[in-house]
Amino acid sequence: MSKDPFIAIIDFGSLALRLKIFETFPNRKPKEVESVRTYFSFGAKTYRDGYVTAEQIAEFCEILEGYRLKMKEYALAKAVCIATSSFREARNKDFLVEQIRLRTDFKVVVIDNAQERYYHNLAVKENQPDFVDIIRNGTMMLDIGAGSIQATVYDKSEFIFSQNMLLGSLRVSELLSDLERKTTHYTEVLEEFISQDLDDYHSVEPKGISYKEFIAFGGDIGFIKTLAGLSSRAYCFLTKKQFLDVYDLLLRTKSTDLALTHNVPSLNASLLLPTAILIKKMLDYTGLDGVHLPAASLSDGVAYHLAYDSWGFQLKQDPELDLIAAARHIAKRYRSDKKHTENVEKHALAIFDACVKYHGMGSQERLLLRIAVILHEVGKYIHVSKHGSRSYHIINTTELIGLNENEREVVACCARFYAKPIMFSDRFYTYLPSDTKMLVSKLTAILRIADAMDASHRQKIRSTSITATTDSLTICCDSAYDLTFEEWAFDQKRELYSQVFGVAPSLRLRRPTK
Amino acid sequence: MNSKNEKKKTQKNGGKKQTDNVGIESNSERFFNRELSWLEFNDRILFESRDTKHPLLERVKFLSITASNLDEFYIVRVASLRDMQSIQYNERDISGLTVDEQLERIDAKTRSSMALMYSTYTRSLVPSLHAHGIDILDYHQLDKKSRASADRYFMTTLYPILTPMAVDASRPFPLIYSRQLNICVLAGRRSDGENSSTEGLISEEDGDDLLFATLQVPTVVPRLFECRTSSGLAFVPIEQIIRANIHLLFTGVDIISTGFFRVMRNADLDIDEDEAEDLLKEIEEQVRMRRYGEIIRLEVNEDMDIHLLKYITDALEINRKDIFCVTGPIDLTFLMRLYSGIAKNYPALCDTPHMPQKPSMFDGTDNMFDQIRAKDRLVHLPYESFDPVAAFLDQAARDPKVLAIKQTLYRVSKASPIIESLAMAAQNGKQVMALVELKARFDEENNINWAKKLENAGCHVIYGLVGLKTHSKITLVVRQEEAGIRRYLHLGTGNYNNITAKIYTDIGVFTASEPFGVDASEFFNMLSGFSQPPEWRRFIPAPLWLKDFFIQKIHKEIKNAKEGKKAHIIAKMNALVDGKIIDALYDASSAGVRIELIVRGICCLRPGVPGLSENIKVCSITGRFLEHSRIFYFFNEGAEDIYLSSADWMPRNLDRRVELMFPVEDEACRARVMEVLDIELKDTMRSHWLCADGTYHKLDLRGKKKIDSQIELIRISEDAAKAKEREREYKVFVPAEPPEDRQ
Repeated sequence: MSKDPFIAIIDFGSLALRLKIFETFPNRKPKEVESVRTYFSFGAKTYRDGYVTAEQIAEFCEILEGYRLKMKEYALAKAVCIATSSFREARNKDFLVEQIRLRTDFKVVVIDNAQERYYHNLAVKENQPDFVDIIRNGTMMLDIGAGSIQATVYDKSEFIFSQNMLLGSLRVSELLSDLERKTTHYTEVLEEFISQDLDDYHSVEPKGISYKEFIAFGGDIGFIKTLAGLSSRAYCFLTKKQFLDVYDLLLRTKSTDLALTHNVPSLNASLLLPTAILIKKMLDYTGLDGVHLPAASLSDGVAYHLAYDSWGFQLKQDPELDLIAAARHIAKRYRSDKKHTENVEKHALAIFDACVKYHGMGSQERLLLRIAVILHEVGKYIHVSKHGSRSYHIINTTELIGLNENEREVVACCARFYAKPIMFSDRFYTYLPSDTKMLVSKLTAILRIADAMDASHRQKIRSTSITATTDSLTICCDSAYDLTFEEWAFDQKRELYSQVFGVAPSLRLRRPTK
Repeated sequence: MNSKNEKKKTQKNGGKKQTDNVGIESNSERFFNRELSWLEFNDRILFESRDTKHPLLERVKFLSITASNLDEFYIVRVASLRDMQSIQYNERDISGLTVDEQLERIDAKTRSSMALMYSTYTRSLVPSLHAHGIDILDYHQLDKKSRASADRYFMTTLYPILTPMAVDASRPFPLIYSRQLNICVLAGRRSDGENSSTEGLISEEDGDDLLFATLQVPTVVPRLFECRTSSGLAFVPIEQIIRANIHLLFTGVDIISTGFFRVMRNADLDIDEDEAEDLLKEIEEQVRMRRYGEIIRLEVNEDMDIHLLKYITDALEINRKDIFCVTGPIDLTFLMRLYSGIAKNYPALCDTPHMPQKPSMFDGTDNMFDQIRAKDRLVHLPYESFDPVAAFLDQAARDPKVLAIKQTLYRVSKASPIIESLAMAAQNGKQVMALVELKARFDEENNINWAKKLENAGCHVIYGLVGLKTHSKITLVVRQEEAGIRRYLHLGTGNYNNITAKIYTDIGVFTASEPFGVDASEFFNMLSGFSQPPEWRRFIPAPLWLKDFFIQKIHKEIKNAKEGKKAHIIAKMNALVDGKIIDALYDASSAGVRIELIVRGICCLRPGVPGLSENIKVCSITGRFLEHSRIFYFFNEGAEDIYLSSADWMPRNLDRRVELMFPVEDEACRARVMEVLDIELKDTMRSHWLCADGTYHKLDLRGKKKIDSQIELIRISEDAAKAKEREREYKVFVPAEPPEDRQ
């Protein structure tokens, strides 16, 4: 069956629903052919009260019926429906998703923050001109959402760090809405509030980065561009002076007037000041003379990802590289043994690649294995004993941009079980869905024997050659050292591999010839 | 009217007045009153009916148009002023007149115009028609044979469809429909008490022998009865025949007197869109309510019996000053029927028939999409035919590559090929969205019918944005091609109406330009209720952007003029009323910008006033076609920006309607638009030039070349069509002669 030439993506944002329709072409970037938006503020209620009301659900459904008509213009019956923080934080999100499905047949997927940022970053990478050149220098990317903001740092063409802060424009404005009535110097209070959280961020961000570029993006950035007299749809570079003019305008103008005089929807008008304060703070902090404002939306990112997955579209930057870099940064932050980790990574990937014939896993699983290896010892930062369960919690509470919730759980479980002799009775294992259980078992089995190959943390094994047949896995290794400890450890850890793959692994030392 | 409606009306009119030209200081030195300016416009049409250079039947038609226009002016504009008067709204308009003063002047002006209309009718047209063997006669002027024929017509055709309505204590005065001719009868009961068929016709008051009744002159039969007389063809208004035979309807009484009368009612709809759950139903209801609108004018025959007149005015509660005594047949719109009925038999008395030419920018109407994709194409109606628009939609409806069709419909003809195509497209599985403007004045019922028909055919019908009429003229066809999605557009200055396309001058552009297409998609999305886009690539829509854009463009010309650069504005439209734009034009004039305006109808700008507007010239063209296109030209330092639009420079267009303006970018299309402006500005035959005192005058032709712009444009379109035909013939392959024939 031929693939549908159009993709419909519905983004359930905090302030608006947006349907974008993209036209896809083999090996090319998808082209946006239609974009409609319906302003509908339900995020404020979720952030304030923690749930979505029946009336709001009904309104959702009505809007979605309108979108269905629009989709029919492109003979599309299904849409990718993505919901973010305003759904995530609703206590009744499962009911909400189910009711929407029952009433409209649209299946909403609530993505976590890491996935959301992954799509945003992807959109920026593809839409920001010269992105690859820009990140050669220290670059701050600030994703300003309604619910939270995400600061991501690149340097020397590498992903360095990413941190989420609950400083989204809508959230801040909702949190402080009471204050607006109580004080006449609301702006100063707002600035103090934002400064305090940004200070926390600066305390954990990587040091020694010399920022040369600043990229800001997010839902309200378009209006900032409009206020600066620029096109909201296209990329632009705003000099600090241009930005400060807009900032002054926002300080001087009431949000209600902004809606009237500058054609900014009133829902967005009140959120522009928090957004502008954030940009100003970052401009001050980095000392830069301007900010890149690309046009990039969540839907763009989702479309590019789908095109990368299914249409052979080559992304400007391999998203795996960022994920691996992020994992290494976390491992470093928790003082993992870098040499050991790299050694185990080498062994694990070699085993994975040698056994492709029978393990039935692909590149995504290989990536998960790699991340699991990089992070398998982070729990030791807290305590050397029972570090598996500590690693599990660290991984599950750390954002890995590019992994979804399930994939993160897989990585965390691998770290939890690789050192644990009894895995099958562990409740964290028994609760896993059966297909996840299988994946966790396979990856853990590989991780276990790979880890055993450097049990002493001394990287005694220099190189290996692996022979995999239908009933055996023979790892021949070269080493100038005594491998008794590693051989013992390997023997201890190989049982799971035998059980999972039905193949008995063995480690053989190939002495160097004199 | 109930109190709720009264309240709504109060709010509405108060609100409406305040939004028009808000912030503009009243000043009679600077502005003309819009209503008086409109009456001037109608006088210009009346002038055409008096102009003996026109063929006789064309003059008859012009008089009919004058009468019909005046009717509509009363039931809409005067009605609106009367509403304001009723709520004691007495702010001054931009020309400094209060509502009372406006109504007073309208009344005086109308009476003099009507006197001229009827003198044109009785002293000029009727005798001229007679000279050509066409008579419009009263019943009593008929010879015996013709009278017998008229009587027979009465008995066989009219009598069965007449309904006399008596008035008495138990039967109140009947509802008199707006704009329909009625006969009133005053009779006296015979003392012998003879039984009769007028049993219901009883005295006005107990003990009084006077009887009153009305009957509506039927509209289901033609207004004129045609018969042959010894001198040729004669027409008798049927009300004359009915009156002559009225005794047959009222036997047993003595007819004391009879008279003709017609009322006009307020036809302004009072729609509360915010409260209306179903706009279609609400408008259906309001159209029905129109028949109960307040009476604002009564026309009676000049010689009506004084008792009868008093009876009617009392019964209808009409103020004496709203009575118009007419010295001829009431309601001259019957002249249009006369024209269309006999024109074909008297070609010498009509303009040479005009056949819209094949559009010169199209190679036939096959493969519309290929042609439009290759380059933009312009069609100038009615010089060129409407066929490309119909073909565009027809091909879109059939083409398997077409995914969706979207169109705005404001006024559609009765048997519209456009509607047929949209319905067919929906049946062929295309996604069809039609925005039907239910509030198009006097087309409400027609549009409700189309809306229902389209919905039944499976189209997605929407009614636009609450509180705003959608007046833009746009069609979007989305097509999936090998290279991806491509959007094809038709954008125009006039309605998608194949009938008016033969009479109204309008310009339409077909394009497949990507930025236009994306704007079109977003424009329709906005109309469907999705949020408006933050900015537009090419379109400039009203109400949010258009007015500011015009002001900016005018200011740009002012800046250029002040810097000593050439600055020039040409604008062609139907009406110029907006105070802010007029003010900006005055500033531009003072700065030295050359401004040429072609304004067919109302113009509130006072041109040629030293120190205010000496650089502004205003002309109005009235000819066989109704000037309808809106063209705007700004010199812009030589960039020469040309725009076409559905909007006039009126607050209603710029502030309360969804309108569209778009640039003309293709060089060939631009050249054609400039050609139209150039020819119209050079018109010496059909243009009337506005003076500083508000009057219009024609040019003194001495020493000037006679140019009738509409005739010139007809000639150009014919020449272009012929050239195209020759080109086509040249391209036709002729089979070579067979070898055996070769010598």
